[in-house]
Amino acid sequence: MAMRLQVKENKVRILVRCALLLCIAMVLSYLENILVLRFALLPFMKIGLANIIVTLAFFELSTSEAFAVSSMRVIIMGVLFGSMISFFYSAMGAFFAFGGLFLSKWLGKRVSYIGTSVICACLHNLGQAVVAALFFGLRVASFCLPYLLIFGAVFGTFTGILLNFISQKYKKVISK
Amino acid sequence: MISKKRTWLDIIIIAIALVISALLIGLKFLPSEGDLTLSVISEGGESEYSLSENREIELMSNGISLIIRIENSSAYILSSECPNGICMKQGRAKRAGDTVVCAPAGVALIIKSGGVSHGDAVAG
Amino acid sequence: MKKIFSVVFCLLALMLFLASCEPKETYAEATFVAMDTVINIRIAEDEYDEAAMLAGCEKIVKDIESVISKTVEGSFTDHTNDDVGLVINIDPVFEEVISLSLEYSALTGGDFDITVGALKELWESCALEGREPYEGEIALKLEAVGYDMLAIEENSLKKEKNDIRIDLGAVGKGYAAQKVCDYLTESGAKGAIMSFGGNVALMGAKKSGKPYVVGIKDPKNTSDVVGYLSLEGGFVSVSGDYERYIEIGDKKYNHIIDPVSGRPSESDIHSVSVICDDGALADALSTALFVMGKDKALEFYNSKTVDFEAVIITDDGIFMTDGIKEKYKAK
Repeated sequence: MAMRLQVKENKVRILVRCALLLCIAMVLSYLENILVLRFALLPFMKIGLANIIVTLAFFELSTSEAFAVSSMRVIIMGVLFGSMISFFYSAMGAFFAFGGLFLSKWLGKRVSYIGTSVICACLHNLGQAVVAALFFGLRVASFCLPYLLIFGAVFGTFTGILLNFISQKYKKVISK
Repeated sequence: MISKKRTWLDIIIIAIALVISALLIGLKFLPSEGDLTLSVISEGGESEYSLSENREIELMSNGISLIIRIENSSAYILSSECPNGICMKQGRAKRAGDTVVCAPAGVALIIKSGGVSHGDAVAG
Repeated sequence: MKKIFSVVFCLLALMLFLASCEPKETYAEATFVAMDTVINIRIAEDEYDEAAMLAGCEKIVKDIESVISKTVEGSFTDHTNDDVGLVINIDPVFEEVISLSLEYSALTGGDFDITVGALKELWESCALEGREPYEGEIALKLEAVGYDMLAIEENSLKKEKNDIRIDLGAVGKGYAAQKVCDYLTESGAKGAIMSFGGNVALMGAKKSGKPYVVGIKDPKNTSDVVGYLSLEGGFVSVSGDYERYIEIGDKKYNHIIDPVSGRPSESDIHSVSVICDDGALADALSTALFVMGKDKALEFYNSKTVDFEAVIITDDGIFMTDGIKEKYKAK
């Protein structure tokens, strides 16, 4: 369905829509940096607000748009605010989370955005743990992992509830 | 495509995530005591021993012969031919970070933990 | 769309590749026993001969030990304690340690004092007999305590009283740590983390450019820490009541002797960590602050006689000096 839509759609329209989504995602990302930095137990632990946009784009628009938004966000945020290591964290996190999107697509109607968000958040954190293992050794990563999973479940539920709500209203904001 | 309302699978997914993390935390705290190893430093360098099995280690360092005993997850210097014998009075090392030193022989027993590291170094 | 896809993918791959070049912290390590304690030295690996540097460090420590250690026979400390009046032709290292110690004693008003040797030996020998020293014994030994009764004069050390016995245990490790740091700086090491029986010395920087993180041991549970300090370098010297103690009967006495009362220190401090740019000073100050007790120690800090920071752990909690608060993170 998504592919068919794309062919029909105006290219400029898609580009502008992507840019708009990217902007929102980056603002959310930035907001989250400010919010979470003070309370974070672990480096780069996030609520995953930006993932709201990516998930929405993935299910309501198209895979490629979601991918573009996700990766450009990671790259631009990395260039603007991050160090190499923090970029590596968020890139791996985003990459894993994207895998989670495909997984819940496969689950189809059986899950809502809540399940999807939890899957993505956990996988996102798992991806970060993989990076932690690369840099600091398996010991540190295995210490962090359970907490990362808990946070994934909690914040995933939170963003999922938000998403369930937004997905019914988004057409007012971003029309297809 | 995707449900717009909460489904049962959502709840199950959340539960699975929480259960896995609980299991991981449980796993991590259980074996923490059994994770201790004894590191013996002598003239010949450093060697590691498990604290879980009782045994005696004989070694020679700086021309002084010593016997180290591992007993009930603790280690101590059983006998030493060093002049002052202070090392035999230092008691047992059993918790992570505990040390017993025999200065004349240049021998030290250090308990090391396989757990989480506390930064780059620990002062104290 | 396909183009965007591939461009983005290439960019991502490139950045992942670059990110993987982030330096990893690896160290060449040596552990040995000297100065009555375990010494561990880690030098950041780079394009130089770490093994030679480690051997150099070990030699420096052992050389210092052979001059100042009380237990090494023939050391200058040994000479000084046995000689009467004037100890002549003293080693330059010994001279430096003594004059530094006398300076620190003056600085701390005698709370740090190397002339407590006789008292320390009295308590140790009484502990072996299983009794407390008699008041008379303590009073007698106290007469031979006082840093002002020592003076350095042209290569020689003058003892005003023959019974003065010195103990450099409270400054020696810090002095050695300082010398090892100087040596590593000279030989071009990029970074090093050293532990001299719980006194930590930091040199250079980490490859990542991030500050070193030093845990502070929990006096109640010595296999754990109470918090962490983020430090760019310098020395962290700790005196704690858990370290070594003398046991007489059921009572545990501290190994640090209060030079004023002549008795093991009974201050309210469980552990004091001194953070300072000078190794010997850090070591001496940690002993002095421990003897002072929390209130006097903080007062001493506020008098700004000398530059240092401290973290003091007592039953009432953790007290920090102003300059270290933002570098401390509770566990």
